[in-house]
Amino acid sequence: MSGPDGGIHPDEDARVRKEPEQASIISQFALPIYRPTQAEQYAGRVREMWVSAGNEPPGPDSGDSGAWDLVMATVSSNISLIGAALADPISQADAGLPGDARTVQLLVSAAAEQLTAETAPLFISGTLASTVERLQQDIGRTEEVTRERITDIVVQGLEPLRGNQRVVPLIPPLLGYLDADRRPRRIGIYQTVGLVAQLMTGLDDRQSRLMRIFIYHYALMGVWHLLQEPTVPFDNAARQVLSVAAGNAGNNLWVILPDRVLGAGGADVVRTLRTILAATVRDLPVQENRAAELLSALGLEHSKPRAALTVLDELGTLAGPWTEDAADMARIESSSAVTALAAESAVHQVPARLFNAAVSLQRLAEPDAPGSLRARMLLYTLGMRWAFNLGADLPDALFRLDGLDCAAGFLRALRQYQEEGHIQQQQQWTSVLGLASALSQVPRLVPRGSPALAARLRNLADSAERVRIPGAASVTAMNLRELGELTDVTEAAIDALRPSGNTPQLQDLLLDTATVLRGAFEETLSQARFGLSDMVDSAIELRNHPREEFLKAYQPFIEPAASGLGTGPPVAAGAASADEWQTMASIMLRDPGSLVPALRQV
Amino acid sequence: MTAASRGVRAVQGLAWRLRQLLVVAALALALLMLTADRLCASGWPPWLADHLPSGILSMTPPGALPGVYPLAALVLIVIVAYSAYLWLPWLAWLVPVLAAAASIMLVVDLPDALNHSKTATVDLWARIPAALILAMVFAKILLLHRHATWAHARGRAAQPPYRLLPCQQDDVDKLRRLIRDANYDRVLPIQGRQGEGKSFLVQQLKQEWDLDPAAPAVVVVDVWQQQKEADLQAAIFESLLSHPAYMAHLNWLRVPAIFLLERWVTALREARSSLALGPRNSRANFELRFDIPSIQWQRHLERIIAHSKAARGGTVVVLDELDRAAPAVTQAALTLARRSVAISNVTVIIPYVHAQVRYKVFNPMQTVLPDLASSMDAVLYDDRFGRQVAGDVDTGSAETVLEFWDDLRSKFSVERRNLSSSSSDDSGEHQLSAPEGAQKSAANVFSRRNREDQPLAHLDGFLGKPPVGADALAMALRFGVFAAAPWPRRERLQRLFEEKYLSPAGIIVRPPGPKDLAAMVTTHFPSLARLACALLSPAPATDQPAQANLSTVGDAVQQGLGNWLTMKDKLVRPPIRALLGILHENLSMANSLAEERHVSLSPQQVATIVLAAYDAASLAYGAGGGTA
Repeated sequence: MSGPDGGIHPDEDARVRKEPEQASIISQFALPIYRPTQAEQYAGRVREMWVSAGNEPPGPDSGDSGAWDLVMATVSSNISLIGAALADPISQADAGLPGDARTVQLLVSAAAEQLTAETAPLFISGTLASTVERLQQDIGRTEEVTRERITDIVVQGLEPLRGNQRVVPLIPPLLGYLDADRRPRRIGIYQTVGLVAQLMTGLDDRQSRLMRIFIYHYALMGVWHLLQEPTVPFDNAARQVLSVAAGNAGNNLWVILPDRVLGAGGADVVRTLRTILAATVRDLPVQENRAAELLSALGLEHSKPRAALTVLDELGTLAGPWTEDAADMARIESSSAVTALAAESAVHQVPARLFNAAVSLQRLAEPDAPGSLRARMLLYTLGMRWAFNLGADLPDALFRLDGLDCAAGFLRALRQYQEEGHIQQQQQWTSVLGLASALSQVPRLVPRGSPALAARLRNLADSAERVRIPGAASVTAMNLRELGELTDVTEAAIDALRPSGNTPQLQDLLLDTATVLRGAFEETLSQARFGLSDMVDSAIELRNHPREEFLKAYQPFIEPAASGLGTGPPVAAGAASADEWQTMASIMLRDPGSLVPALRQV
Repeated sequence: MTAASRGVRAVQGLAWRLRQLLVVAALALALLMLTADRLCASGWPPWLADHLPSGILSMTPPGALPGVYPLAALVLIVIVAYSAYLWLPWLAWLVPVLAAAASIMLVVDLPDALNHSKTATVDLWARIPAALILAMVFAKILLLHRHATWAHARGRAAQPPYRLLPCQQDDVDKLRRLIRDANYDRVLPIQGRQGEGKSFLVQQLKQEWDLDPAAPAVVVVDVWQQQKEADLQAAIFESLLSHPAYMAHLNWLRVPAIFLLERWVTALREARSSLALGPRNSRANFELRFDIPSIQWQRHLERIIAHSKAARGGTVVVLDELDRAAPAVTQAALTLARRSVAISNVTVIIPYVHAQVRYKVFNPMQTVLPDLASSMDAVLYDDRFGRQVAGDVDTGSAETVLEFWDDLRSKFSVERRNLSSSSSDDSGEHQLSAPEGAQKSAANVFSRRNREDQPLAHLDGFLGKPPVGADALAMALRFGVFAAAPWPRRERLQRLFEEKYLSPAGIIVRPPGPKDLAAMVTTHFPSLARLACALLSPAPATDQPAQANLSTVGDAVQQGLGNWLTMKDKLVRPPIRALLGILHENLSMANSLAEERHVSLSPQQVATIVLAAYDAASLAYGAGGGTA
């Protein structure tokens, strides 16, 4: 996921999680098949016609149950006439799932786990649509079936299509359907709203990002109004919704801004959103003393170590709005890699964060200076360290965990180092050049897979070929049969690159990583002072009263109150016009009456 | 109704009465003249003549001019005959009666009229030609009687005019334009599914144009009612001649008198046989063959249409119910449309269901009329032998007609042997055997493939009675080329068959859409509107369903169906007749249930029932009966 600035954007790393306890249960279920009767199929069809003719969706709470029953009794006589024809257009995948809403939710989760982006549409347009059709009839009849729950079920069913363009047409009906839920609002519904937005994670076009910002704004605005009531607690659920929505809205807004620099228009709006994230997000699950130990190793000691670690974790994910100083940016980004490891929350992003930090160093005043290049090499090798340690196998380490990008970056930096003539004594560099030699063998060890992956591997081989590797440092493919052997070569290179006086602590790789990072910035780059420490301090301070901070910080985006929708962050940031925002609102908040037609179209 | 229109109506009524009075007066005068002639000329009947005052008898013209009164009466009858059928149909029976009486009196009086001096006897010489001429006139009056009474009966049986639905109005407008477009093909097909309202369109046009003297004369021929091609020709004539435009202004006098016997002539021609003369039980019979001359339909048709100035806007012949007729009649209708009826100033309209016409007419496996059959065989021949690439010329590799025929015969002989060996009942007496040396490996491959692909039922007929001569080649082409052709090629052949007979459909009847459905339940079909209205909630003030709500039903139906068709974009819209039936059923049932349950519905809820009926009609009938 390389961004336009060469870095890797950790897009929407924070996710809403609802009822996580289901995960262990759903694997016990196989995908069941239920074929509805012709009468049930026809009832669903008539229901769609009922809504098409301008009636409120039928149900006991609609006030039209007598009329609905009469219409159904009337047109049921048509089934004998159209039975065969009726079955045909609906029959392709028309099985519905049995049971109550909770059972259905488990079954849909189970089904979604078994499906892929290719097989899911049949399930969604058939089984899921039929199931939703049945459940919709129970809205109002039983407490457990609500629009919110049905949306939860649908979102789970759509999980195989996450990041797929096919999911986009479903987003407006989902939000519109949820918006029309007339029950008193609770925080849970905004968790569902967040889930809807995250179905589009991975879609990088402007329109998709704007849609996501709109949905996150909808959630933030909803929670803002809820929190006006003092009796509503600012609990973990509220924190989760706010931090996810504000953080992700800030991320997406930053990407669609015309100029992504500290002083550019709109950066202040991004900072506000990211500040809300830092103020409201729950503390990382790290012991205070461990947090203090890690901060000390990083050279960023603080009196509230866990809070500091939490703030570093969030702000380091997107440092651009806060600073233009390359060293500070790289330092906070690399620190966020340490915090992610400490919290064990987003460890798959660790190599990417280190890679981003290395890329940020290219903006130093003298990027070709030996210290700068050594620091970059160090960050890349640390990225490889964690990719190889966390990866299940070599392809996993290289592709899923971004080890390949780190390796390519390392080779480029090493070649530049050689070309600048900084290597005086070949002897000291044997381990580093050995890593380059080992990386040149990697393309032979990995199955090529898709053409895109094959091209990336070819680039790696090309980069490796440009590095001059003496015979003594050569590593053959025969020595690299296992991932562990590549890890050893990487560790040797880190030892060779680490600052003098910095001794390896292989028993605690995380602490060692933090120590190496400190050395890289303070000694190799001679940047003893961390320029963002004041900003971190103030963010930590805001965490003492997050509710008030959120209500105050987000109020400008709610206003004018009469609009109902508020200005919204993109309009305030100049990334979208007011008309565009209103058009989006009219599309996204229109009640479709039923989710079935949209699901059938998938 | 305004005072002006009431005035116009009163004037029209007065004119109508005046015309009736004039006709009555003319008939009375004719009767009086005939009576006077009898009384004065011959004192007949004596019981009346003897009792009449002498003054009256002396007032009559002298007997020096016998026959003047009957002649005058006959002329008068001829002049007012059509008007009598038009204005006084209940009294029109007097026309042939008076004409017959006048003719007889003329024949009786003629010798006296010609022979005042009594010097020579001219009885027979005068009476025979007079009788012949008068018989012809009388035959034409009888034909007028037949056509006029038929037209009157059909006029009374005609359906009352309905308001056209929006989609139908567009179709009628287009039809009107195409008929008046001189550059358009004179055979104008209207394509649609069963119950789609094709006949309704032309009937509406007829009703409209019958009221307009400047418009074309529309003549509708019910092809379904005819048994044979000759019947069809007669029916076209009868329909044409019974149209007011062809009867008015003494046009009926142009009709050939022989048409009075048209059906008899046709029947006699078909019953013709050889007459055997000779002693009973003797083989030495004398056989006399005789043939009855046929009526020259085409010549008469062209003459009548050419000389008729009455139909100033032209003539439109509609060959209706084409696809319900027997295949032979359908074929005859289509060939007649091109070959015979489509002459200058005549447009032939053919409403048809494409699939039906394909099966009944353009199907080489059917028994077809010779001209159709030869056209189709020519297409098949060209497809099989006329498309060799240039490189094949004189190379000896191209298949000859004989080889093709031999291959087919081989194929069927193999089939036949298989059939014989599997069935002990099959005597095999009709087996075809390939000529020696004709068995080719290609033929064997062909036969094997066909044995797998084709059911044995296909052998019936073709193998049972082996054709000979030209029939053999035709059968080989039909079975070997058409029946064995895969779908895309068969479709191409079918289109080539149709090309010469059916031009591309001028009008493809459009199925009802949202606007039409709304019109059906609110304005155009009062019975449906009543049913829909009865379902609605009563208006608070009157305790009656508010009429305004019905227009809301229309809006909801239009909007709802628009949404529904957007959602179900593959739904094939239904034919009107099927839709009407289901709408009636659903709305009637809803009324019963509403009465039973004491429930009333909102306009949107009524619209749901209407939508469901439309949807059911679409699912059940949308895909049937050809393309929509």
